Amino acid sequence: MRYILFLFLSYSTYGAVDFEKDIKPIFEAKCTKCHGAKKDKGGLALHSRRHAFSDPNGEVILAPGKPEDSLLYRKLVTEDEDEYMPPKGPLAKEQIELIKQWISEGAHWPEDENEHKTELNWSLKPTKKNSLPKVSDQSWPANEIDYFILNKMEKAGFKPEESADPETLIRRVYLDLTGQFPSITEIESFKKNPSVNNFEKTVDRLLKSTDFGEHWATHWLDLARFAHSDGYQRDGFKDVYPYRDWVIKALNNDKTYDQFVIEQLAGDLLPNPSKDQLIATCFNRNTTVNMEAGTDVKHDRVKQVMERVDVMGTVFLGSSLGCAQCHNHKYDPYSIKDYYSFMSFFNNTNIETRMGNKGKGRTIFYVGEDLKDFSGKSSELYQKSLKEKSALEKKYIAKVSKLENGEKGKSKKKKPLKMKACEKIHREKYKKNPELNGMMAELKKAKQVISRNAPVVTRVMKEMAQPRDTHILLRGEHTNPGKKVSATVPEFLHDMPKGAPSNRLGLAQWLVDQENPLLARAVVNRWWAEFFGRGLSVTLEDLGKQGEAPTHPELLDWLAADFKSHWSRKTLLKKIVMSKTYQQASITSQDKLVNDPSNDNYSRATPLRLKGETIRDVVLQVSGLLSKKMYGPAVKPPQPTGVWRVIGRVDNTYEVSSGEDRYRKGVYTIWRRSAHYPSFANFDAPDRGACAVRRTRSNTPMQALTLMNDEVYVEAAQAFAKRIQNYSQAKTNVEKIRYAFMLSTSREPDAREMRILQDILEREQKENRGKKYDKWFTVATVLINMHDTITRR
Amino acid sequence: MNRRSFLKASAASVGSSFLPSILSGQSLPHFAPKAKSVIFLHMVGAPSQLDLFDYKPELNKWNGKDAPEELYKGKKFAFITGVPKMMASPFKFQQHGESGQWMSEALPNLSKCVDDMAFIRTVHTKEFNHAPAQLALHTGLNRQGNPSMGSWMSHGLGSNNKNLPPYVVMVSGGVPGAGAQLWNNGFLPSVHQGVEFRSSGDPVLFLSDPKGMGRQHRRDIVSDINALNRESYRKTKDAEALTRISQYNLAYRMQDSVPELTNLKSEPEHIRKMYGDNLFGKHCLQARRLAEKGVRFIELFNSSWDHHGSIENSLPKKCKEVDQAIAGLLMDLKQRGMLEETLVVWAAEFGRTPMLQGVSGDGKKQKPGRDHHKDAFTIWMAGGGIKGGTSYGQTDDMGYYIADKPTEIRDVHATVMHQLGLNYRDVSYKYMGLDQRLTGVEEAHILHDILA
Repeated sequence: MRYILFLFLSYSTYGAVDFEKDIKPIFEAKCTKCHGAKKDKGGLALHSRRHAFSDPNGEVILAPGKPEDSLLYRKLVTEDEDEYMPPKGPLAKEQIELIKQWISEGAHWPEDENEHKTELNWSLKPTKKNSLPKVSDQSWPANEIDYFILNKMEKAGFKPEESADPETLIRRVYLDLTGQFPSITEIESFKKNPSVNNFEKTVDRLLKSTDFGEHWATHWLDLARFAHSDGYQRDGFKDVYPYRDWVIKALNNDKTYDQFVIEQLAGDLLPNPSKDQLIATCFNRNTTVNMEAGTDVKHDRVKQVMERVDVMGTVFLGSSLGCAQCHNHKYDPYSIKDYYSFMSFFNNTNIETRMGNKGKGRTIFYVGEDLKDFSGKSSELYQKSLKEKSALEKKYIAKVSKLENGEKGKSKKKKPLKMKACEKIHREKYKKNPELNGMMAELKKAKQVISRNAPVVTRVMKEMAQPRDTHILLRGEHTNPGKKVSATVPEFLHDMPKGAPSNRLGLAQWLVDQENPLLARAVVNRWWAEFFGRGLSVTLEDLGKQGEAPTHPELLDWLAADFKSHWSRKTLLKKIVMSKTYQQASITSQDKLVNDPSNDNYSRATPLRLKGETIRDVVLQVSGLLSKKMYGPAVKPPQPTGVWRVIGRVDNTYEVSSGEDRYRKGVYTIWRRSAHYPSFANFDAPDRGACAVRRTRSNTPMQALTLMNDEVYVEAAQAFAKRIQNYSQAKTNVEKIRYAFMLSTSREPDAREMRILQDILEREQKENRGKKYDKWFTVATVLINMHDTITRR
Repeated sequence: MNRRSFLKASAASVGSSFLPSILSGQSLPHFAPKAKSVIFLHMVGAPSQLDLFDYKPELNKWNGKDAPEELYKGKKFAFITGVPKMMASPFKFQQHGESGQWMSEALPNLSKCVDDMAFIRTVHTKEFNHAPAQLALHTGLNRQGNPSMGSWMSHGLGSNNKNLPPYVVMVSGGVPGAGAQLWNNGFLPSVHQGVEFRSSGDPVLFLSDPKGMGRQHRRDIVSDINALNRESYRKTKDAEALTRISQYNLAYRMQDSVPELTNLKSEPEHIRKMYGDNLFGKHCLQARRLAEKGVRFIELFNSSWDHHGSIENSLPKKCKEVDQAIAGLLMDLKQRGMLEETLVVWAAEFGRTPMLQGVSGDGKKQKPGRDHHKDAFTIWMAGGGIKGGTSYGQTDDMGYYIADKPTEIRDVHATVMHQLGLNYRDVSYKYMGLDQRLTGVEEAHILHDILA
């Protein structure tokens, strides 16, 4: 023993411990099998400097100069059998001493120059506008996109498809840009002149139509997990529709994407923010809120803040940042410290719920920051009428109690009466009492004034005067805080822009900085998928190492870089639809179907089944029922009874909207997280309790049942039938069929299809199944249900 | 081929639609399954394990006394504040069956089945509020957006019956706090969504034809739609059009098969009697019928087990509602030889505290009940290759902490999957940069001790 000690002392007198020579071999022999590049048990990896110093669980692994503060050292010398490392038996004493000395001397670990280079994933490299690649068929490309696509296609030995038929193309671009079918006139006029010029004019017109914003809002609202209820057990309502309307307007006005992001993340921190800029911050207030009695409100607050960080990671960084909540990201360079440093930007808003005061037990109350908008209304009248109402109610209760209990108005035994009970007594016993009736009339008036002048409420972000301290939360648990962190961005990404404040606004400015390689790639990739059914990288939600590398990295780069130069969504979408790539036919050869089944080469268009909301919108459109009214409170189209039935003190009544509100577009339909609109759900709409990046396009029997039997579609079929019957320009049934078929599929039926439909008509004529479900109803139903109706080719 | 005969033929040519969506190239199940179906009974609100299964005589000594500090200091509860008092079970416990398992008098019928049941006494969870804990039990995570276990099984195995969905849900009483999220497909395709068989209105949403429409009319419409979709396929070679045809055929068949299945009158009276005459009993009988037909995952939710107050009266009432039904289910499965291949799981989102709760959520005094308890609770399983008459793990004398063999929810999930012949590691779906699994990123442990 003494001998060893002596040896060590003498060793150290010769100079510092050398990492490469003395320490690395020990790590490699004894540690990296479990804590290395392949496995990182407990999140710890000792194969690289960056990993070893990243404090994977918020605990310091190596504290330079302080072996006792270094978890690594403590694990080597602990006497706790369950704790010491390596588990198969301790290191030799001299090895332990070496490591101790190495740490004491500063744990000097030379940086491996290749470390960052080899680990930087494609999506983290700067975007650049690559020069256009060479193609042999110079006549094909219409714009830059086509050069990249054709270049790869030619290498793979494929040829592009011809342009789609004019009627297919115009239907495609209508559905993709506006979620509406083209009218027959529009189809016919485009067929007469399907020139590039005319197509471009059509595209410009569609981009200018208000349908554009309504259609594209759905895509954004999935990401923004926009819903009209809180989620969880109570799942109470919060109609924050001004935010939805803000999104529609922003899209229609082509608000530049950088501004779009800044306002939603930090509109409240802009100088003298406008009302709209405050409304935009509802983006971060769309998180779920747990209002279940007894909820640990602090825990729920932290959950909400973490969710905001995760959503920012997914939407703006294309990263599965949430993986770094409990430990360093296993594949991407985000450390747990990075995660909580991001969190620090979001951690400075007030808590949104509190537990009831004494006497209220453990009931949870909402106390979040709201923007109350009285524009066009009178806040004074509102306040005044509220007071009037409560005074009137008191008077009314007193009067009823007096009638019930005699002069004193108080009964010794009974509890004091409440408003509802009084109204019941009034109705049952004192229907003709003039005094009560008079009070009731006044009360009704006050209520009307109140509802006319009630403010429109949006949940918004507001920074606290004193920011909160943010700590790394060990294992992601709020009760387990580790080291304090500050609002900074990860080292491996670009720096904060000069002069950017260390708050959400600074973070937003950092996100939209030209240097950020991720934001533009993520968004361009998602939009691409809206047109082609898949992203250039198919993992829209994750461009990290675990995601799929893009099939056309140079194209994605080019589009991202181009987009950053103008930030105009409409410009980018126009670029896509003006490309030959987009305009190809989807019908293709057996060869391509077999040899490129998932269309990696984009040598054809991909047919896409429409989204649930769009299906309902276009069916209402062809039936003539669709209301084009925009904006405002959520509407309730028919849904089966008993779909809303959550427990807890919340209203489950579903009163179907009347008038044109019954037929509004799907984007205005109320979205309750515990039971979202069933026909949309059956067509893959997410419940919006969480950020949803891609909707699958499944094909299920529930969809068939929905389109055949949902009251909405039966009603639409009946209206569609009437529309066909009343079509005065048609003299024959054949002409009527042609009209109806064109309305729903945007093309002419061929002879076989016409034959089938005529057969249906003849059969139904013979069967004579009654007025409600007559022959034209049958034809209308069949057309609504056709795969070609709910698909864009 | 005329169109009517096509209706039949196309179903055969395209085949079943409720197929597993798991990547091809793997053969599934991964190994010979013990169970073909799972019947999962979720007692929503969380019954007290201490008054039903986990017998703790030590609590009698402590009854009414202040709880020892280690049970509340630095702890958070949904409702209990201050220094709580301990509460003995107001119910008598007895040993039952050959295995001598302890059961409370509140479940006299189920007590007869103990030799088929395996009690996992040491499940614990992270959440003490209903909705997040229910989500954790169903999806492995305490938040929304993830697929439920039934969706995972459907994803992994598909259906054994081409006329019925692989994942069916029934709800008696109020809907659970987390709502339809509990049988949601999350990021999996919506074909794996749990289909609710409803007790009023259409048994399945949109199942019934519009009022006054004849069956022959519907049949004609379906074959008309199919005829046009076949034209579409002929022109476009778009395989989705073919799938659409098979889905319309399946929808049409479901319109007959589901009402047939939900009509319990075809069951002999003595069988119906076994299950008792209430909604939950009907659901249990229904569950057996669904399992018989090859439905993979059947889940029954039964609400109102959240006994914060007056547990002495309210718990027996609820037990009465389910005791005969569950016992009837186990016995009926057994007499048909089905229990061996049907895994029955009884669970709640968490358990209840050994301390009493004397004040309601509204702050009013009340007869004693128990608060939510996340640190140890009981789940039991029966059939489907489970070793009956066993129990796994132990809680401490107070029934508060785990004394031996803690069980994670993912261990329960892994065990259920194992019995279905699935390796939990290999049932995954790529999303958010991860191979997502029901059991999450951490290692799960199959509870081999309770397997036959």
